[in-house]
Amino acid sequence: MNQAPQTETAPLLEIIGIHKAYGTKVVADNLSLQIGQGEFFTFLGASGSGKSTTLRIVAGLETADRGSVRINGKDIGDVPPWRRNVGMMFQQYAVFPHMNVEQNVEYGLRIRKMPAPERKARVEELLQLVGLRGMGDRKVTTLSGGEQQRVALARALAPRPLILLLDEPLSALDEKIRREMQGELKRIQRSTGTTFLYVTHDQEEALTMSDRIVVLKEGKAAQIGTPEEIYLTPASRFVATFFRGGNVLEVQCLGTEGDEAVVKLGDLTWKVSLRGHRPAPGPCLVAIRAESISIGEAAYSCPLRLKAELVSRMFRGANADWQVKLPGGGMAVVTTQRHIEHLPEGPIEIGFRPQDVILLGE
Amino acid sequence: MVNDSKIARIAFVTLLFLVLVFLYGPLLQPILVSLSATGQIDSGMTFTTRWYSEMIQNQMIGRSLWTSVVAAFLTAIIAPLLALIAALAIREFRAKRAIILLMILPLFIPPVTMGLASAFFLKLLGIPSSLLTIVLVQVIWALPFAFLVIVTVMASFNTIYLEAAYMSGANRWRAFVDVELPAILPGISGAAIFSGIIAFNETIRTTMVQGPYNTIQTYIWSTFLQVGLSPQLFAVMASLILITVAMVLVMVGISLSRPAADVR
Repeated sequence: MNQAPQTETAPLLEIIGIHKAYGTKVVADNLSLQIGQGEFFTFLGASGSGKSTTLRIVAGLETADRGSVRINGKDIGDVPPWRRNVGMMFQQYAVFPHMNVEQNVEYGLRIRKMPAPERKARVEELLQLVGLRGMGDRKVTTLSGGEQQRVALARALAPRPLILLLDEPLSALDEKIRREMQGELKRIQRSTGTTFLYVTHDQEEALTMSDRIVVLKEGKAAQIGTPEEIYLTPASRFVATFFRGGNVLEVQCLGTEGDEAVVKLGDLTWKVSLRGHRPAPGPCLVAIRAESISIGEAAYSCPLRLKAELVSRMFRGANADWQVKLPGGGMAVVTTQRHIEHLPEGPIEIGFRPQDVILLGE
Repeated sequence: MVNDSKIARIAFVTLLFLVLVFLYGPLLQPILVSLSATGQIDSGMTFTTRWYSEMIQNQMIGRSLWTSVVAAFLTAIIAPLLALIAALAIREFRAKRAIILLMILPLFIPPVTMGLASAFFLKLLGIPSSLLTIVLVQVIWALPFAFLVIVTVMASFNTIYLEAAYMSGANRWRAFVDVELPAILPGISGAAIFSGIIAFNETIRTTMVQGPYNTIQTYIWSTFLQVGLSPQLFAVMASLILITVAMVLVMVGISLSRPAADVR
């Protein structure tokens, strides 16, 4: 009886020291996470980072080599998937092809032996929620991918699961439908108050939808935090470069003063916040977002300015990316709005604010 | 170019015709003989149903046919069931190839050997020859076929549907019945008809273990050996050809009406 004391703030889901390997490939490496009731929590990582495996361990579809999973303080290691009261959405939709929309949605309710009138009402409620009202008798095989995924969502939510697991549910959809569904999922998550555990490799999806994100690298949590924290203050080179436009620069650390480090790049010296790191004097790494750097005339008003060399420009629709070569030979990307005037390649000035420069631990 | 394609088409049709004659020509002979008043195929053939009415009145034929039908029916139920269990085992266990090999090995054992071995084995166990022993050897014979059909259908079934069912609250059995079974049912019914036909047509293994019984095939075989061919025997063979063709057509019809490819 080693039950954790239950308080009102006890996390809904605890992942404790999960380890899982396929042969020599480690996909979960002593991973521990706590997820609160009603949270939209996202596992972000490249393929093979262990995000899906961790989700499937929570589902009970895979078993961890070591470690445990607790829901409301109770170890569910021995509970089969069908008794965990955890819903799931899959990348391939997995709606039952031989059942119509209504039969799919009510499947979990039938298994739980919910009486027919109640069941019908619940199905109606869910079809309304996911925007499929009046489509109950449609064959699922005649539906579009987006509609099938809505059926899958309704089916997963119908039995009011404690947690909804979403394994890259939007990856198979077209860009336009995907954006639409991002908004829908977030809206439904808020309105139902269901805890969502979301797996994606899409940084934008993670940033726009999540309350908190864990960035996974080879089965380890590289960083856990809100989208803003992870995007603006990455803890490592890996997290900084995971998001598009994340520059990592090598600078010289001259020493520390209070909770700041003095760094130098070219002939520019400035101070950056330590953020708990203890850099030794010598080369160290800092991160800065591409959109936090100004270029050309815009750089003149910046507190910190550097002479650099413009190498190339890339048109990206609303934005433009400028490749610049820094003193010491390092490269950086600067993102501006598209309509900035065309700058000639060659020597140019760039500028930024000291608070946008983030000291990295590694 | 036009000439080329024309020649190619003629060559294709000719080849197709020859293949069909080669495959099905021999089967026409018993049908013609069974309808001939003289029991011969000649220029002055007159049509008769005499051999068929004689056949129907022959009690030996009736009893043999009944034995065949019952044995085929039982085999059609037992073989697909065992095959399904074996196919499910493939998914659960690591030794996939070993299970497949074990299941289809009986296919390669010569029928006389298999029949004699079964007969000795049953004698050793003190099990007397009966309808049961007939069904036993027929199931052994039909099982590899039923297994291959069911394994093929199950391979095209995506197990993600089972996971979706588990996550909806269905246990293994419930998920299998609700989700997988409807998807693989065409394969199972195909395997059942396949097993039935194979059992119905089995002769050599059955001869070794049938004891006092006869199936329709062993009746034809032993009558041919002991008495020789008669127009009545041709009538029996012609009937069996037609019944088999009809059953195959039913099987094809079933597999076409619910294509397994529908379930990805």
